[in-house]
Parts: sequence; C-alpha cells; structure tokens
Amino acid sequence: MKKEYLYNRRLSAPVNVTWEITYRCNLACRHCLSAGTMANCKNDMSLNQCKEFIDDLCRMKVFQVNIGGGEPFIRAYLIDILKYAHENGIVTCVSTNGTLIRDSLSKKMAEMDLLYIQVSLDGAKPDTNDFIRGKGSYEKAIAGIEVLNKYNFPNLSINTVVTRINFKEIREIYELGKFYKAKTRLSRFRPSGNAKKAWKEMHLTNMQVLELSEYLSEYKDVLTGDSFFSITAEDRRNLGLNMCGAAKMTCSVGPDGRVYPCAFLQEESFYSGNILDESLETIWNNSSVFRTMRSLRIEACETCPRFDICHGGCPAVAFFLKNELNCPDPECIYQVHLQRDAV
Amino acid sequence: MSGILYGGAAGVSVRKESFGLLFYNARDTNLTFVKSGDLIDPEYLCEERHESEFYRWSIKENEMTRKILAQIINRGLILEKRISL
Repeated sequence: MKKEYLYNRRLSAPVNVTWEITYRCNLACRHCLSAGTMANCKNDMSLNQCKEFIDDLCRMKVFQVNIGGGEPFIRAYLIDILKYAHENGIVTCVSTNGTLIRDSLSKKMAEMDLLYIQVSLDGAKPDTNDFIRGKGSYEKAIAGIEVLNKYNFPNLSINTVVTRINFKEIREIYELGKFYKAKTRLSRFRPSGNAKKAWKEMHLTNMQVLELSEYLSEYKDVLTGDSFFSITAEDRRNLGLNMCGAAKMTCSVGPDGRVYPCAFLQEESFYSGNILDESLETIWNNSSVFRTMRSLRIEACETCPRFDICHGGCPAVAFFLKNELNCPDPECIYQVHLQRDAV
Repeated sequence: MSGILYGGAAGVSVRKESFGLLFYNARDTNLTFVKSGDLIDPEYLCEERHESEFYRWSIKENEMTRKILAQIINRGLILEKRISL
C-alpha cells in the first residue's frame, strides 16, 4: 500500500526532516555532501529560531528529525535543541563524526529515550577511514563510541558511506558495530557536494555493486534507510525505502533555514524556500520544486521487473551524473546485470 | 461498564492521512501505513477509549473497523484492555 500511495500522491507532512543544524565542522571529509552548501552559509539559526522551527514541525506532526551538519556537536545549544524536540514528542537522530562526544554529554544523552546517534566511520581500519575523513579521525570517532558505550547509550549506530576505498572492509565494519553494541548502517555514495570531485576515484565498480546487493541480502540487520533501493534484492524489499522519498516522505533544511527536497539536492536549482520566511507547511504544500519531484515519472523504468522495488532509483544520482532527473538511476542493478551478461 | 478499552502504545505516534492512519514507532523508527479511510480518528488512539466509541458506523463499516483495530493491535501499535464490572 505504501509504495502505491506515495507514487501517486503525497503525505500531509514529511515523516522526517533532515536538518543541517550548523555549517561548521572540525573535519573536511573527501565526500562531504554538505561541503558546497556550508561554504555559502554564513549563519546558523539562533536557538530561538531553532525552537520555532521545532514548534512548526510539531504542528505538522513530523515524527523525526535527522540532525546533521557540519558537525552538530559543535553547536553550543545542541542539547537544548534535542531536549526541546523531545519535549514536543519528536524523535531525533544525530549524525556525527563522533570526535566531539564527551563524557558529561554522553551521560545526559544516555537518558534521552527519543535520541538516536549515528557515528560516521568510513573504514574498519584507521588508515582506510582517515584517508577519507582526515588523519586521526578514526581514533577520535572510536573514542566517542566508547564514551557512549560507557553510559550504555542504547540507540547507537555506525554509519559508513560505501566507496571503492572501504568496500573490502564492510564485513569488518559490521563486526566492529557488534563489538561496540551499535547497529551498522550503510549509506550510498552519491556525487553531491565534495563527492562530485571524488566520484571517479571512489564510486563502486559494477562488480562491487553486485557484491553489495548480495551482502545486503545476507546481512538483513544492516540498515540502509534511503540508500540502495536501486540495488536491493527482493528479500529486502520491506527493510527500507523502495523509492525516492524527496518531497514525499522527507525534505532537507539548511543551517540558515533554506529548504531543499532532500539533503543530496542542495543546489540552487532545487531551492524550495526558507523556513525563516514562511512555514515548512507552506513550503511542503506549495513549492513548485516539490511538485516537480512528486510528479517525476521515470518511464524508461516502468516496464522493468524491478520497478516495484526501486521506482527508477535515486533522481539525485541521475541528476549529477546525467544532468537529468527523469532518467534511470545510473547504478541500477538491473543495468549492471545486463552489462555483465552482455560480456 | 464491561468490554474492551483501546489506547495508544508507549512510543507510538499516529496521524491522519487521506488513506487513513500513519503510525510511527519511536522504539524502532518504523512506519506503518493503515488503509482505514475515515473509520478511525487518530485522536481516539491517544488515550484509552471504550470500544463502543469506535463503532459508530454501519454494520459493514463497524466490521471493517474491528478488523483494522485487530491488525493494529497485532502490530503492537495500540493496546487492548478487557474490562468487566
């Protein structure tokens, strides 16, 4: 029912909102999707502005906010923002590089039932991770994870952006997660932000795409969220999204209030409004960019046997690689299979 | 009064959509879409209410409501409590 509904209509409000809460970061990851936006962003919203935004989300009955950046723990008022969201019944999931997680903060966060934390780690080994995220970042991230473990923080996951660089370590990353009582989440490498420059060097090969699909079938407890629906097999169809959620299930808000259909489409041509000028509800209901995203029909995919599992894949990847939204996902597994069989 | 009370489960939020109800479970962040049309008001699921308050339709619609409530209970999204005097 879900897929048929979302493909033809829209929800009254997002299910979740990706909120980049600050433009500042203490790292400079090679694949940072926010790098371009952050460079143009001069001011974070004030605490009062953040609270008004949370009020707006509460009115709309948004269930969850995925807080990122930049690095959220750089914000002095992060805990106040989290508390306010929780008081309003909104679940928060903080995506962090883990390097700034301190003892006293972890103790407080361990008592927050509505808080999920996702620590980014792009390798099971320091060299692999640090090549992508910067020298010393692995040790600091692990230290942050250990502090959270010390206080039995219950809702912890390790998030890895899967690239050619770390692909061979995805099983070890899973074991690392088990060791640290964390779920493993794999995110798709998309050519957005800094990743546009790094794409050629870091994107998965066709063989790796096929292997990843098999891996995800084998490890059904690995989370994928909005990633990989273009390659996931039939046996995972209910374990994540099966179509693009941009402007249908989610949208993205920047540190200065600018709104986009999703975190991977933070480009001027997808600018949809600003929550400092109008409510998110108004933008959600009236934005022409959002209407465009909702009306996307990737006709070339509609006769594909996998259509029900992916609905054409990720338009952001198609846009950045093919300069077009209305075309099949360039990393679609069906195409990869066809190419392999043709050889 | 005897019968059944229905009420929300801990950590579960619900809102109305045009197809019916959209549930969100904070314990695992999972969503559940329930095609209930206008049969069940989500406000009724925020606190304990007697079953008679849910069955205010035709016989056929009440039967559909009963089935939908059973499905939602099965998924742990609302709780059912039997009471008797």
